[in-house]
Order: sequence, then C-alpha cells, then structure tokens
Amino acid sequence: MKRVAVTGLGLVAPGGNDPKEFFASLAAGRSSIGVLEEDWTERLATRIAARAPFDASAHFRGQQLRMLDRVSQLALVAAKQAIASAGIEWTDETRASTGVFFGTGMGGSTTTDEGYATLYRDGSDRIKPFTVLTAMNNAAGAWIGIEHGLTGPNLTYSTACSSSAVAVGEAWLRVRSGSAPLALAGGAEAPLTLGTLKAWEALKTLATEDPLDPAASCKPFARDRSGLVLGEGAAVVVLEDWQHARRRGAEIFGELVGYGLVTDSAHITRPSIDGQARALDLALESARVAPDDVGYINAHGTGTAANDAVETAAIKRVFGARAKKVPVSSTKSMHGHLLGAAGAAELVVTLLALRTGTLPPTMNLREPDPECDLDYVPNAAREGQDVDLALTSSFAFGGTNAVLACRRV
Amino acid sequence: MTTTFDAIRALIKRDFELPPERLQRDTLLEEIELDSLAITELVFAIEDEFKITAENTIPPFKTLGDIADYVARLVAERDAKPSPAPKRAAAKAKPTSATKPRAAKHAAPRAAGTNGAGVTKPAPARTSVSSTPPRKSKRSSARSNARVR
Repeated sequence: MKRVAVTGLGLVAPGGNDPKEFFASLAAGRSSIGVLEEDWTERLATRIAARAPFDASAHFRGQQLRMLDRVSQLALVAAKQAIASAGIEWTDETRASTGVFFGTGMGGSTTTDEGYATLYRDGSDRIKPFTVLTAMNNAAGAWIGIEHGLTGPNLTYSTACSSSAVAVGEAWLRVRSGSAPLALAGGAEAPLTLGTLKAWEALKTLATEDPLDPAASCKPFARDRSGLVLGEGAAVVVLEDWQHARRRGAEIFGELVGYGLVTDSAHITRPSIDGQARALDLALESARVAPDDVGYINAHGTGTAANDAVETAAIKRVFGARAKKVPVSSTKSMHGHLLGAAGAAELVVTLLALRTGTLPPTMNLREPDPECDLDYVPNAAREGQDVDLALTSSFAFGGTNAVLACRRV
Repeated sequence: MTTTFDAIRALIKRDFELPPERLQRDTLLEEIELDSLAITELVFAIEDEFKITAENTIPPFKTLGDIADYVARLVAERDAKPSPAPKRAAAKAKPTSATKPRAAKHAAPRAAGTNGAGVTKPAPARTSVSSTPPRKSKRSSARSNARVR
C-alpha cells in the first residue's frame, strides 16, 4: 500500500475564493451566510443562503461561459487552483494515468431550473441547445479532465451530501493501491436557484432566519437550531503517491490516511447512530489508528435537529469516555451546507486546521442542547493546538456515511 | 438591405466574438474554430432570428456560405407554404368555447386525482418525511426537521 499525500488544494466557497482566504474567514468566526436579494427570492419562505464570492465572468467568456453551469464554473476554478498549488508539470504519462474523481449532488441545477422555466413558465419550446451538456451531473468532472488533458478514469459520485467525501475516498483507494500516482478529487454544488431552494424548503429542512442576525441562522448543536442553510462552492484536492510527491519536491499539505464508507439502507433521510459510528470506526481502522489518536473532528453538523443529536451519539459510541475531550466543530455554521461540495471543502478545512494548529469554531452555539454535550469549539477558534490526526464526516440523504481521516505532516 | 449572410455574420460576431472581416462566404468553419457544438448553437440562434425550424439533422456545412444557402432555402420554403394554423397561439390562448372542452379533459385527471385512465386512485400515503407533526410551539418548529440529516 502507498502512503497518500495531499499536494494540492483548491476551493471557491462562501467566505473565500481560495483555501487560505476561506480558512482565515472561518478561523475569524466570520459567517458568509446572508439574505439573498435577487427578485426571485421573494417567493421563498426564508431567503438565507451562503453565496460564494465568485464572478464567473472573471474566469470564463463567450461560448465557454455558455457551456458551463455555475457548478462547473466553480469546479473548474477550484481544480485549477489545486493543480497550480501542487506545482505539477504534466507529462504524457502522468496525464494518461491521472483520474478525476468528482462529487455533486444536484449537478447543473441552474441549467435545469432555467430549462424548466423556459418550458413551463414561459410556455416556450426554445430550450437552450446545451441544456443536456450543462445540466448533466458529470459535466463538472468532465470539464476538469478536458481542461487539463487528464485521460485516466473520470468518475462522478452522486451520494447527496457525502458526494465529494466519497469522491475523495475513492480516489484515495486508487492512489493507495498504486494504480495511479496522482488523482484529482473533490466536488461542487451550485444549488441557489428558485427550484432547488423551494424543493429544500418543502422538505422542512432549512433553517429559520435568525430575527436579529441572519448570518447567525445556522446553529449546529445548539438547542435553538432550526435546520441547515444551503451554500454553493467547490473544492478540489490533489492526491499523490507519497514517494512520487517527495521525488518531485512537492509541498505536502497533509496525509490522507483513512476512509470509512458505509450505508444505512434503512431510511432515505433519517440519520443512524449505528451508520455514522460504523463509518467513523472504519475510517480509524483503515488509518490503523485508535480513537485516542484523534485530536479534532470536523463534524457533518448540519444544524438539523436529527443530525446533530445523532452525530453526537455516534461520536460518543466510538470515542467512549474520551468523547467529550475531542474538539468537534461544524464550520457549516459559517459557510452553510455545500451539499455535494461539503465533504471536500471540509477536508480542506480539516487539513488547514492540522497545518495551522487553529481549530475553527462552531458559531452560534449559545443555547446548549442536553442531547449535544461534546466540546464543539463554541463561538471562537482555538489557536495553538497540537493536533496530529483529524477526521471529517459527511452523512447523506440516501444513507451514505463517509468519513475521511487525515494526518498532519 | 441586410442579406441572409449579413444577418448570420452578425450572429456569429455576437455569439462567438469573431471579427467580421474573418467572416466571408468562403471562410471554412474549421478556420474560425466553429465545431459541431458551435454550429448547433448558431443554428439555434438562426432559428430565432429567421423564424425558421432547421431540419433534425444539420447538414455537414463546410463554409459560412453553406450555412447562408441552407438558411435561404429554409426561408424560401417557409415563405412558399400557406400560413400554418396558429397552433401555438391557440394552445396559449385563454379557453374559448372551442378550446375549453379539450383543456378541461386534460385538466380533469389531475384535478380529480386520477391516473389519467380515468381511474381514481386513493391519495398516496404520506411518507415519514412529510409526516412531521404539525408545528405547535417554537420548540416543535425548531424540531420540524427531526428526521433529516
């Protein structure tokens, strides 16, 4: 088995147009959740969401812009950053073996929404000619492959909120097995459209707007939590065979050491203590570490009533008496739920937490919930922490539970 | 008077940001890097501009002149036909005595909860996701997503 280094990081998400800016924003406890102001949002019961500070026209133009849904635009920019930070000088050989492992829950949902609006709202048959190509779920991954000429496997994983954690995990398995020295892995989501937001609203999962401070509407692990806040973004990492990375003198941002993946197969939405605990256990087992080695958990922590209580119980089951001593934080309190991009974005957060020794906080945790009684790093980052090993969890509709384990280098 | 070719040239300039001087009748599409997808997009714009409908299979154009000739032919064919019945306009129009029965027939299955074959189906059982108890208090409101990850 090969050791797997993370040699490239790329991200566009609420709070930052690159990993450093994003992490600095989280470490400062700054929320990027706000009130959507577009005219169409008047039809929403709650207008809060987390937008990425991203201007597509700064990166794309003309026909390329028309060919890319927002989800692919975000993905391409994050991938470009990741490759640049890895400092890869491609050869025909590395291009041929490098795969793209990408996650998205809803694919080109802006395109889908616009297509339906044209067809049903406007009564027009003039659906844009690239609708299929921009809406399809594998478009983002495919465009990354095309832009960088990567001709290894190009796979898109769609397991809702764990899509990109699964994508990274599956890429990790490939690099670890020695089948490829390099892989690009990550995910993207751009769900802030009327159709998608309305659908989430109908599911009664979205947070109620905080009357005093909309930016504080997502309250993971708090007694007054009322749901999740949707966000958009993309994150991509470069995974690389450790020796390959060392030989070329690459900077190593961290080591990906474990991956736990299980499925509840019990209920389409309801989380399971057993399922989450099994994923945590498997991540530790594959990393060949004990629960005592873990110094930080970046939680799934959506801010829904069910998840946060179940996740707390699962952590207690795995960590036993030590559970309350492990810092656990949900950065979703600041960047919202990036759905298919969440796992990869939170992996970036976790790697940077290990690297900087700063554990980002769970914001808006003012009212403790008796069911959620761990150390959630409430309301302020914790600096100067000497943490070697961390986990990041992603638990999805459909029951796919994925946990990644990473180590400081 | 604007010719067919001039109008197509204007569309290409607008959508593909190509300078007009590079757009001549004998310009090869590959010279200006208009691939099959670009042609698909251009034909879509042409359909709107000329109020025509291209055939299902777009011919293998080689030059911009080929496109102009094709469009001119479709325009001529369109103009040669007797005015079609205003099908789309009728469908969009508010129900009249002529359209009402048809609209009612189509609306009926949905309104009556039938399966379209005229058989009334019982209301589907609510799933557990939607069977969340009604909100009663602030607390129950906060817990409305009690079964959601």
